[in-house]
Amino acid sequence: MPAIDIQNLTFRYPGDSRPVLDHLSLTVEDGAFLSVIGPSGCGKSTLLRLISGLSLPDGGCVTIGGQPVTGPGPGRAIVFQQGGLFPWLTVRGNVAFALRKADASLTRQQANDRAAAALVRVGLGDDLHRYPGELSGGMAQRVAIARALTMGGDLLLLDEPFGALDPKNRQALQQLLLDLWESERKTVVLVTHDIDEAIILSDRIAFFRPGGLRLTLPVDFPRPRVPAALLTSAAGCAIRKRLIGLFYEYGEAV
Amino acid sequence: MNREKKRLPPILVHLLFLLLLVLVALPGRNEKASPLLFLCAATLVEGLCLYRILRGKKARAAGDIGAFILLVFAVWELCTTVLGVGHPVLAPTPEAVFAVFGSQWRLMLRGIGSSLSLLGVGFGLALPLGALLGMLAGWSPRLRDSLVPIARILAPIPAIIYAPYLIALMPTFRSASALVIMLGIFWPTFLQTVGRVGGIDPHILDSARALCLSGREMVFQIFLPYLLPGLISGLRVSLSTSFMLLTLAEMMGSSSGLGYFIKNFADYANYTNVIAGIFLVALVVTALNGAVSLIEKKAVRWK
Repeated sequence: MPAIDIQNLTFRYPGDSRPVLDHLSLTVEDGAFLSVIGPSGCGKSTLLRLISGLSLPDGGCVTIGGQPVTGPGPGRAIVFQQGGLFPWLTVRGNVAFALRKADASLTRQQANDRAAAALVRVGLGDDLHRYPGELSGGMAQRVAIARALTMGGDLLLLDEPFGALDPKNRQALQQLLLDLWESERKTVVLVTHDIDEAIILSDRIAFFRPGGLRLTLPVDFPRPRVPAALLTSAAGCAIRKRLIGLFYEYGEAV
Repeated sequence: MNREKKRLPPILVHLLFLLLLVLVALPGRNEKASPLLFLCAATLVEGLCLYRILRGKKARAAGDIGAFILLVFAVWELCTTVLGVGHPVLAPTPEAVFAVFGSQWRLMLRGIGSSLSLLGVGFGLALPLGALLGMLAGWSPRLRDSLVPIARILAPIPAIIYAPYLIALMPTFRSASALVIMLGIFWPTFLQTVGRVGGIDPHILDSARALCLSGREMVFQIFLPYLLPGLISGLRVSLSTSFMLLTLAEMMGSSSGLGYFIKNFADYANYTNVIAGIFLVALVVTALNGAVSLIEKKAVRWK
């Protein structure tokens, strides 16, 4: 059974003449890493909101693990490009808060311990008691990823999580996500603008055009992956070339 | 050169303090009241400046402010006490004004107690109510669409204009003025809170919704902590507003309180006590503002 089953999904923003997603059908296998890529305004982020239940479709449906999505639900963590942390809680407090909401049986102490462990894994062991306002963009995204990963769900939704970072930080976080994913194998849907990021991280790339899916490309590289080697290999270059061509087709330079 | 300039104000404040001591010691034409409390006040100013200067925290500003206050004291002392050129009723000597703090301290304390308890009741009811209703209206579009237009009409009405009627209507003066304060605080707090809820970063709201929070959790665990800094800084403004409302209401028809203290003595043309009352109000307001700053520092560590 696919982890995410999307059938005839249609969504129109109020006031728009055309739906941003028009009868979209797509499935994501359990434990797969899918990247969604495409020109701006083609409904990539909207798709993620519909999967998470933050928005509800005008037509069609999203089914997760056999259950139709009717609203936000546990086990569907989402990471935004920026600004998803609660500024009044410390770094550890943010993760612990989400943990306790996901699992009400946790005591404060247990949640704090787990949060601290998760933050150590993303390299923030020394920053547990800082507030989000004191963090750099990269650190804040690490917290957001740690929060999403610890919530215990099987599904991770990432909405351009590294889009606001500088190249060095972006690479570091891509590597971190790669390592974390290879050890946990959650089902991941990543929305991104970055072709290299999609190739390095995912098993399959879905290219979106305005209105919905244009095509999907498999990315059959063995894991664990080495980003630099992968991007310069013949197969990597071929996927890259294909994607760049698609972007040009829709009038967007890469 | 520059360093010399920087050291000038701290010296000035001490010189003025010495000058003031000399002026008080000089035989004056108008020495009826004991200068004890006036000297205490001047020493307090000097002491606070010295403390700031020695700790090096905003030393220059402290020196300037202290110098200004002591200059005013010195000129006042010189004109009224030493030279005796002031109007005998309208311009009392500083000794006489500060001596009021000694002779009328019971009435003053009772006034502070009465005013602050009214302020506490009016404020304590209106602020949480306004904030809570504001958060609920920020969350529920239906509540917002019905309450905000009403608030927009009611909020700009100066609450003090209700006072004459409410004093007549309500059983006691205290309930009337508590109601005036509530009216003056509630609607602005409500409108501000609605506006601030509308301004919350949508990603924070999405993150909160993704955690499947209930309506109550949303209000108390997301809105409230997010809005707390704004509420506390709003406290500063609404505190001044409500203090103004309170003293005005007290001037209209009370038998105790800070406004009453001033109004009552003004009726008897006892301007010595009136000026002392004004100083007292300034002290109380400063203390309240200090308390707000303290709360701000303690409650909002993340800003």
